[in-house]
Amino acid sequence: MSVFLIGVAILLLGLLLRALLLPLVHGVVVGWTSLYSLGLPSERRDRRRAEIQSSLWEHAKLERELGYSPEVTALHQLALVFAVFPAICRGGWKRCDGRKCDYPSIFDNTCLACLPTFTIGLAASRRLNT
Amino acid sequence: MRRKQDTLLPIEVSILQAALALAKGRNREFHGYQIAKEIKEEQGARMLTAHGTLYKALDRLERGGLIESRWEDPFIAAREHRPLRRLYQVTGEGVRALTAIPVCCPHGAVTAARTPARA
Repeated sequence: MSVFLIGVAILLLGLLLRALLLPLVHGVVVGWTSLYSLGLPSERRDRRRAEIQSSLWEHAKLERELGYSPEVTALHQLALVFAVFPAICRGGWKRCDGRKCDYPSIFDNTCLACLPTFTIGLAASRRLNT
Repeated sequence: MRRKQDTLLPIEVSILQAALALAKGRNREFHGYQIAKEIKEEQGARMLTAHGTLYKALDRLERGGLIESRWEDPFIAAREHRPLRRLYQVTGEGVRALTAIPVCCPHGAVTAARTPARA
């Protein structure tokens, strides 16, 4: 009986996670957008966020029509955010190295985007080395 | 990426080219996701252009007067139960720029635009 209940609980949890995954990823992307657009003037910042929310919606709709599952769409949308990090870091270090950066967005002038990449890299290397 | 004055970054060229390709169809106006999809298909890329890269480039192009934009009619978005789209359109200046302004390559060198003749 308890095995059956555990099975049902796992199934329900899986269904719940499946239902929440895409909204969760949208939240991550919008949160990241909010963070990197903090330095922009409010009008441009609000517009950027609204456009990215619209873009996420269009992307999810198209993939749904193409028959992709919400999990795959969520992965695609996350990849769109994280795949750009190495390029940001390369450009960011180059720009910020030894001179003042005059870009209005913190995304551009503090190399903030490098932090998650660096943290993940460090964690991965520690795990590999222990 | 810092841009030399009077040059276009490769992403900006891609946006203008994709926008002009889209304009040959039914609508002269396009939204961000539409342009990302068009660039992906044209270049045969595996992934869409990242949101940050795309919208920053659109912003730069608009401030440079090469494209213009407006919010769509909220009634249309509400009727279709979706978020409001920002609609872009290439200006005459944008069409001229695509043919006349050099492309600033990723390593800072300046190369000639793909179509050297002026429009």
